[in-house]
Amino acid sequence: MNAPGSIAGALAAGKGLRLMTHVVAGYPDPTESERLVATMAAQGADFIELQIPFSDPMADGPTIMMANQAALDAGVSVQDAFDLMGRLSPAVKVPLLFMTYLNVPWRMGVGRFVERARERGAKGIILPDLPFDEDLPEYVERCHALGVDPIFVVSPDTPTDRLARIGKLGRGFIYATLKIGITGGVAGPSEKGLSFLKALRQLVPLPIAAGFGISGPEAIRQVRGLCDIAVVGSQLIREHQRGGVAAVGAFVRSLKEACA
Amino acid sequence: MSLDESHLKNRHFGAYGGRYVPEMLIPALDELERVYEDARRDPAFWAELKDLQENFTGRPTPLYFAENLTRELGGAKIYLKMEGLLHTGAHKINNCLGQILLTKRMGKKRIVAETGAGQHGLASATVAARFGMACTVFMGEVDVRRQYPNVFAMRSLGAEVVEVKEGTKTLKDAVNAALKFWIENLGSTHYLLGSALGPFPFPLIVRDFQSIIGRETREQILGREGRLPDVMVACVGGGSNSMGFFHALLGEKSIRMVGVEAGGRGDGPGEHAARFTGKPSVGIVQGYKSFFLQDDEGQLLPTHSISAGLDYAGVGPEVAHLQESGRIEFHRASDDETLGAWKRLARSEGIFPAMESSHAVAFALREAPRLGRDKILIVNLSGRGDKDLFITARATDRERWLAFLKSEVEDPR
Repeated sequence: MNAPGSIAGALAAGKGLRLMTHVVAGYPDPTESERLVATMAAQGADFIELQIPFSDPMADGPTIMMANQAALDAGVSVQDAFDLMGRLSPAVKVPLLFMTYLNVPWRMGVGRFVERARERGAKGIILPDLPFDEDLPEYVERCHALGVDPIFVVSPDTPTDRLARIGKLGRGFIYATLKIGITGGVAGPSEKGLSFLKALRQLVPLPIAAGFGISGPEAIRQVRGLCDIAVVGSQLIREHQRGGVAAVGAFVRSLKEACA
Repeated sequence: MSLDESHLKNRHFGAYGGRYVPEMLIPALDELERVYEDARRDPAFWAELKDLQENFTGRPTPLYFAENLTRELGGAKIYLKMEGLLHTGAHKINNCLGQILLTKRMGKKRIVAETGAGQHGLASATVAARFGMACTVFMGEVDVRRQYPNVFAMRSLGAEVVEVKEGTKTLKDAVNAALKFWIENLGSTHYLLGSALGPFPFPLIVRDFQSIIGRETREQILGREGRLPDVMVACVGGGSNSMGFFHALLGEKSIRMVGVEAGGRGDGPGEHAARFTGKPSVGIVQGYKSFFLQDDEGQLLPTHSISAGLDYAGVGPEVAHLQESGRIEFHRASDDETLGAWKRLARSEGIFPAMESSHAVAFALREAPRLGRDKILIVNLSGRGDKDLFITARATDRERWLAFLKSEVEDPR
């Protein structure tokens, strides 16, 4: 059975394409990021990634990188991000996930990081710079033991034997990038990205989230039917810069409508 | 190679190294590993490299007996391994020649590189010009200012130099930018990483291509003195010159190996780049596990050094392993001491060391008088000092230098 509030539970409870949005914890400031999460949930986001700011975010393009740096410059700590998770997870009705880079959990102690994430209500963890076969088995073991889903990121160039192994270790869903690149693209999904999603369905038993280059309703319509969750990140920060929380809310609503 | 590599397992050097990168980089790292293993077994590869080393960059470099300095200090005999005499002015070209041949074998037409002092960027731009490839170099905004001669040289060679304005605007941020550029252009581009760090196999490849320094040193000192040295000294930023210098001689237990870190201007966070002699802590950043200057939550700390090439928060994984095992001991030299060493070597021997290498010279100046006259100490002079004009002139001849710059700007010519 799916645990209450779990990622699998949320996926089983409905149908059609779901939406995952992204917030950098503490950006543009702690109060505003809290308001952003609440607004996204209210306007139809089905899952929300809360990114713990890191000084050297390797997979992030200029937009999210800037937000990481701004949050750190403003003094946002890892502890602050955990506090934010702790306040938000009981308040919003959708599963929240932590996303960050490996050095943050490594420094805290990977096992302790997973435990504390679970205590604060995180349902999954995304660490884009930890390949599943690197020398850190403790991470997946603790995630499995504690029921926090380890979400692995794969790309169109990931060999099928690796996909098969990742499919066994992952829980919740697998995060497929539509391109080989960093976050923040606006080009929309390429043919290669779309055919990757089709192939992935046959190779991995997990639900599929697709991201990297989904910046609006049109791109969402393109991936509809090929995956279970569409992920939008950088564009939300650009919307916020343009028109604040209200603009983000309206944008999330338009994304959600495109999912249907 | 008959050297002991038993510490290298699962892409880690002892407990350090690995390849902690986004999954999308794994196929490119696998390809590089494959192509390198292939090249390593191919005598034609090494023959082509040797020809370039001898006829393009000027190997072997001399092992120079610093007679005046030795006499003045009254202790150990001081030798200098003159890597700064290489084409482009530093050891960095050793690795670039090797990696550009690998790039060719992979069928790629473009390279991207990071640079701090500009020596690796310059060497990358040089081999790109020589092999007809496109070259993009990322360099922190702070470093562009202080190493401008190299920026000009890179651009003159046809490279695109991109100023990195994020983070600390130094080497670490240039590495981030280069990694991202690589991720975005994997099919066409090789990341010509310049130091013995980053995800595996880079630390191995860079070390191997640099290990010519130590192999020559061994042969040369045996020829000159009939025996191995007692002490070997190298500056350590990421670790490419030190690993290259030490590697072939690591098994010679009688040799004391010394790494010199950037002591900067103080002990506080952001005032130095001393990963080992400061408050060492293990992290996993920029694709590898090693020692990093970081805070309690794992954020990398800003660094400072008078030398752009040592101004880096991490250190190569094999260096980390050798430090932990006690094989390499670490010391530091401050900015002021380094400038003094730079001036001293110029006056005593007629040689300008690069700011980076001046850190190693500073240690030698301290240590040689404490050693007996029967001892031999070799410093790896990893680079020459031409590039440091904007640092050294400002620091040691400020008024005339600024007056000159002003007149240059105002010259109506």
